[in-house]
Amino acid sequence: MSRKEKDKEEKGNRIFGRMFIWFIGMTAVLTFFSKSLYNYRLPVVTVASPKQGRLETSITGKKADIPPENDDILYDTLLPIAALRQDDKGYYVLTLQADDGVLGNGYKAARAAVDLLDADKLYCAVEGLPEGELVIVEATSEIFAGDHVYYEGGEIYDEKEE
Amino acid sequence: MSEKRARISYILFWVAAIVYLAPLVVTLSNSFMSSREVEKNYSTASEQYIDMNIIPEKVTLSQYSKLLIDSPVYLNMFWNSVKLVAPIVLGQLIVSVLAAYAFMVMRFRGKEVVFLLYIIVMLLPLQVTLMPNYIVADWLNIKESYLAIILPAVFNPFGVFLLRQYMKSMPFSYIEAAQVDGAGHGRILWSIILPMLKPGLAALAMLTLLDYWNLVDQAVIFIQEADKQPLSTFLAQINSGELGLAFAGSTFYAIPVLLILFYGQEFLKKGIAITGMK
Repeated sequence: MSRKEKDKEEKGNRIFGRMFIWFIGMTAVLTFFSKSLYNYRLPVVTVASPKQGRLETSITGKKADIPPENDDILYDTLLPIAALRQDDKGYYVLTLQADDGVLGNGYKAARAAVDLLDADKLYCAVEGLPEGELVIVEATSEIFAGDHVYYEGGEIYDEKEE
Repeated sequence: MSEKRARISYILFWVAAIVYLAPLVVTLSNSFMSSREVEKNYSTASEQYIDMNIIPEKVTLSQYSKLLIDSPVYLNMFWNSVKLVAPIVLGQLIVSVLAAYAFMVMRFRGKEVVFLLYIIVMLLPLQVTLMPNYIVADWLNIKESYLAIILPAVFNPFGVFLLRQYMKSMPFSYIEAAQVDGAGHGRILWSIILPMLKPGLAALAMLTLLDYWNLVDQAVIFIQEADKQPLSTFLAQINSGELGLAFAGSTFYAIPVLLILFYGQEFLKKGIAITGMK
């Protein structure tokens, strides 16, 4: 092989070396931003924690199909009506569950079956919800149980007067 | 007659090359198909044979997006592989150079017997040495860490064998001259042996990289946590509903190794050729 051909071959081989460095660099950058990119694509959720309270008398909400029977009752678990969902198995809510995966702290939506006791225009009284759970009220896109979600922190629940 | 034979050999080589490259081409082209197209191609629900397409109906990067952005587990596994392989390659280069130099230049009793033991251990299949390695890792309390894989790999006798054979091709007169001038072993190794050993070192580095980039047995046995698994175990975790991810994952997995091989192919050819000369 002549010197010119050898130099050409070495130059060709060096290109692969540069491509390898680029590949590792791009993978490193992608990994560095992987959490941000991953979270960017997740639906952002707004949550509320169940509170004690009383319901108001009037009901026009579409989710609850029973009118409040007694507005003097102090319910242990009041949730925003937007958090209540229904399927063929009955009423349920989506709760925020911590999911410690590869990217560190993340969240998932988990199904929690509840019994609807009463409801008004804005809130509903339920039972069967485990204590301390944060309930997903709304999300930037449609979510189902088991979906990964992004939680920015904070709650939207207004304080109810007792 | 010889021209005819040359033509037949040429055709046979081409056939062998196509047969060898076909799986790579299929993997690459299928990685650019959408998951629906892959399912359609490889579904055996109604018929006995699958209808495999080489050229995608619609080229898409959705599998790569799913793999690298939606599923950051893959990137995590990639860096786990790098964390495993980099110390192994570095460690083996250092240990093999020192051991090969000792076998080549130094004189000590039992040298040939020890080298024979090296060759015997080198010839043993991995599965035979896996159990003793596991027991020793248990004694040392490193069973759940990367050290259980890195340490046996660093002291793999193959590197010693390769570099010793390579050193045999070097003119011994250089070493003798240096010894006459009063150079010690360290000086001889650093100033004379190492510069001439570069192709051999490059060949050893590449062969070690190839070998340990693809390790599966040790990873499955020594590493139980899913977060610490290397990329070589990724394909085993893909289920049948995610074939598209398997193709994209395999392509991405092969890229760094292919680039390294193309970069150092001259060293590899030289290193392996010279070790066979003596």
